[in-house]
Amino acid sequence: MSRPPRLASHWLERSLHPDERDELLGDLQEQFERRVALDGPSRARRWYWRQALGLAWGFARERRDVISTAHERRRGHWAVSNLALDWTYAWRSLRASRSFAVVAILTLTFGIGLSTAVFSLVDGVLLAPLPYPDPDRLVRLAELLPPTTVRSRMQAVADSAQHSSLSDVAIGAWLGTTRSLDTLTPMSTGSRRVDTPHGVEQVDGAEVGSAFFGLLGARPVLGRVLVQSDGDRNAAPSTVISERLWRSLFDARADIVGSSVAIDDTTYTVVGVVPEMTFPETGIAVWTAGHWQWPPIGPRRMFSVSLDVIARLRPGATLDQARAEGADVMKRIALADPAFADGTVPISTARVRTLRDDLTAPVHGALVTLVVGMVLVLAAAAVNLAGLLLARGTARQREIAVRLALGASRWRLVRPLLLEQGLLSAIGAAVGAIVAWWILRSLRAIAPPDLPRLSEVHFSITSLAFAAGGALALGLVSGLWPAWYLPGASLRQLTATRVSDDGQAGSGDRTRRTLVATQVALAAILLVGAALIGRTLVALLQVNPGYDPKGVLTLQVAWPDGWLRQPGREGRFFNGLLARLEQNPDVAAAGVSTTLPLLQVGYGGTFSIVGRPKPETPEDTPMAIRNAITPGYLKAVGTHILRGRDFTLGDSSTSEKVAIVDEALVRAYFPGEDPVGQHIGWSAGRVFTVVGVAEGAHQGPMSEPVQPTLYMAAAQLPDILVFNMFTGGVAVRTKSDPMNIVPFARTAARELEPDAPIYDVMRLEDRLNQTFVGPRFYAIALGLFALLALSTAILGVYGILAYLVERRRVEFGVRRALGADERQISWLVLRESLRLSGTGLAVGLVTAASGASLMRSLLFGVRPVDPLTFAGAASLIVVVAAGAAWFPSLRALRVDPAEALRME
Amino acid sequence: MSRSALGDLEHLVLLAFVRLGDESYGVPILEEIATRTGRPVSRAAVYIALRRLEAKGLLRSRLGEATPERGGRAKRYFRITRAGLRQLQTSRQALVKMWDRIEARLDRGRS
Repeated sequence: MSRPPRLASHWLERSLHPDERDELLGDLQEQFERRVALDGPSRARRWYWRQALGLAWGFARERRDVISTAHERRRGHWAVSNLALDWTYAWRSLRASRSFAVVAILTLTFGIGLSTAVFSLVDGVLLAPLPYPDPDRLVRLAELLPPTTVRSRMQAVADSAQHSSLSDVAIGAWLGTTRSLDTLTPMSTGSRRVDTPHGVEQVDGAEVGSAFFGLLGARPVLGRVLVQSDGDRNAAPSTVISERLWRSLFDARADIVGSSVAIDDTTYTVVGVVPEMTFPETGIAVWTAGHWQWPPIGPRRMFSVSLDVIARLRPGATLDQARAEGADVMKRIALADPAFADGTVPISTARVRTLRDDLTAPVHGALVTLVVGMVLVLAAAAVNLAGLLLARGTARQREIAVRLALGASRWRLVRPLLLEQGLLSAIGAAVGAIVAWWILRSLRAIAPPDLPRLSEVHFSITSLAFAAGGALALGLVSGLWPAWYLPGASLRQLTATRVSDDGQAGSGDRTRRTLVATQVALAAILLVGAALIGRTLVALLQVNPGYDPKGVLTLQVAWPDGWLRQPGREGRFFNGLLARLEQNPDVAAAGVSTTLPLLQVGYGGTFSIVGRPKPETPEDTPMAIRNAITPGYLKAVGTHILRGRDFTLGDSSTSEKVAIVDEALVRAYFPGEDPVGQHIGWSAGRVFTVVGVAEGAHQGPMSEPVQPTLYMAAAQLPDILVFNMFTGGVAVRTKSDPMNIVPFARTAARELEPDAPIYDVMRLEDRLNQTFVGPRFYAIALGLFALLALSTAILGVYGILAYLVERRRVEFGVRRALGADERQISWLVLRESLRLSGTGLAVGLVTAASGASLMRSLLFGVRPVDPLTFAGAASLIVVVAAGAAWFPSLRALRVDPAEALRME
Repeated sequence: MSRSALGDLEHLVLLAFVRLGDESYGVPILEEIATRTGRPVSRAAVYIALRRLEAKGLLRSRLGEATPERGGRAKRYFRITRAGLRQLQTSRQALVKMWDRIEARLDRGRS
């Protein structure tokens, strides 16, 4: 359900009189809902804002007309005029030094804009409670296999693809004995085929325990949610659909509740419509009650089901109690397995963590990095402002000294400075808030798709408060201390005709140098961070995926569950589809694989190498991802055969069983040997002859290593086995844009099997590019931070050099008169610049080196303390510092010796 | 004009009540005026008119039920009073008299 803009409605709620609040907000809400259905949420939100502003404006005018007794007018006028006078004074003084004002406001704007955006992001993702009642009592349960087992090594691969689940035996055992948890609620997600008025559609669905909605406290838009009775084995099949599905494919029909809909060949009654949920995944369109059976604890079975499980802590129970229960359950399961006796079955660990931690764990490192970057940017902005104000104060030193001498109080002197600072902060906060709002709005387009709870990130009241607070803090930190420091200037300066040039740096000088060095240090830290992420991105882009994604179309097929009982049906379907595809002149190659790149991680398992002794420990057992493919598959995805041969149509169920191994498998299990011609054994006594070696292909994102892979010819495996292994689909290599082939493929599939539509149709190239969105996002964010810090550093260096050159005019004039040439004078300025930036650089690099390990989880292909990156950042800063010295040194050269001597 | 004379918008609001019949609340009133006149009206102005009409005793209101599509907020139902109907009559008569036999002239002036 779309909600009206929170900021607007909250603000109205605050500003309206309680007597009229319900009526006005209710009316607005009612019309807003209709607008959403009519114009879509974003236009409706704009409409809402206009209405809210119109209401506030209209009421304010009305009230002004009513409350306008002469007396009140006079009083108001007096107060306003006094305040206005002060502000006008500050405004004029800022306008008089426009370049200062512009730089200060820009610093504030970007400092506050960027940090408010980061804050809102982190607030929405990490800090804000989940939008469910009592969210911190919600926990997620998972079973972690011990790191030594083969299964866990496979799980490690699968886990990074995100899942954390609990086996059915463990669910049953835990449910039976728990004292700390209420309603363990399992769920599993997957594609469902829904028969809608607009045709059969493949949508994301979730099978959930019947307590699911109750557990989360989710409320329906229409009808009801799933309840306990829906979980009964003989209950009539009921489903709850998402509001989006209801609006888009069921035309928002009012009579949807109670109507029937076919999902995966079963007829369900729609009992309710629920708003969009972000859990367990966004975009779930149909919800059904799952019917699972929890097998008793006993010897390990061939097949077991693992499900995602959430639960609620009972009142008074703690996470630790739940963890202890989990450990106990795992122990009981392990003890019941005869294999445990010989030590080959280690005990799993149960992981219990709050739902919020679980959702955000994958991006924790990235967000912490962003927050650190944000703090550094704010610090850079504050230092820059302080420097600017100090410089401005120095310019006024004489004026202030005079006024002090004439008996002005400190407060009178400080007040205009503070007001000025306040005005700057106010402008900076306002524009910064707009920048932040804009960044957050575009966030959805550029943020990594794996960022959880992204839909909960908006520009909110908290964001606004942060922007205001940030501006206030910046104003105080950078504005107050120069304000207090300045009037300390002594009377001596009144009599001094010019600032002394005895070479001794005054205390103001030292402060300025420290500020500039700090700016350089902050810029150096952020530059190193940005460069590390940038290099990560480059490294990822340079990884050879082990396939050639250009021109490849990948798609999946949604076949009905009933095919499980019809051996060979999916085989016949795929053979027919491939045959048709290959006849299309645009198709270069086509094939089917049980594992497609970047889709779900495949089916893994152990194997043996004929002629070698049986390994003693689980760690030594050879293990590989098994991939059953058709002869055209490797050619279609562009994985090269390095030695031996590819599968052919001749590799049939009657010929010798053959296998292809990949480079990673050769490296792991045939080092220095030629695997071609060797024999590989697999369960049930099947023996395969290795006929070829393929290039190692990344199944997952490029940041993960290539897993050893064992390719087998699908035609040589029993149907049921291929069926069970199947998580993949079809790959087609085309001669033009792969999307051109889609209509042809759809028609071909429909003609072969009307009940098996193809879905998840995507260019392999697009799939691959999606994996780069995350690193690109963090690179852009840190790059922006670094850019901002670097520009303030440039301004700082430039500012202090210009000031120093001004102070040393006489000295330069004398030097020129004594015969110093241009190079020597320029060098004097440049040396000053390098000395300043050198100090800052040293501090910055050391800090960056000690903090870089924070970013480890974000990096790939580059070490946190990478010499090249550090050297690059350092040279950039040196070049920039030298560049900042350019104009001041020109000015130093323009000093006329005669004039300078006259001044002396 | 007497103190109880109707303003332009007040007049429109009262007419909208008569059109919609019996009881009504903000949303239908806003929409009725907008669709009939063909241009959006200021939301604030309509609510202010409602308050004024109620203060003049031409409308009576009561708080209604809260419904989910309103975010659980109650409606304020208004009903036109007998005085309201009378006032409309008076205004209408005044207007009709003032309009008497000038429409043709206005049309001529336009063409």
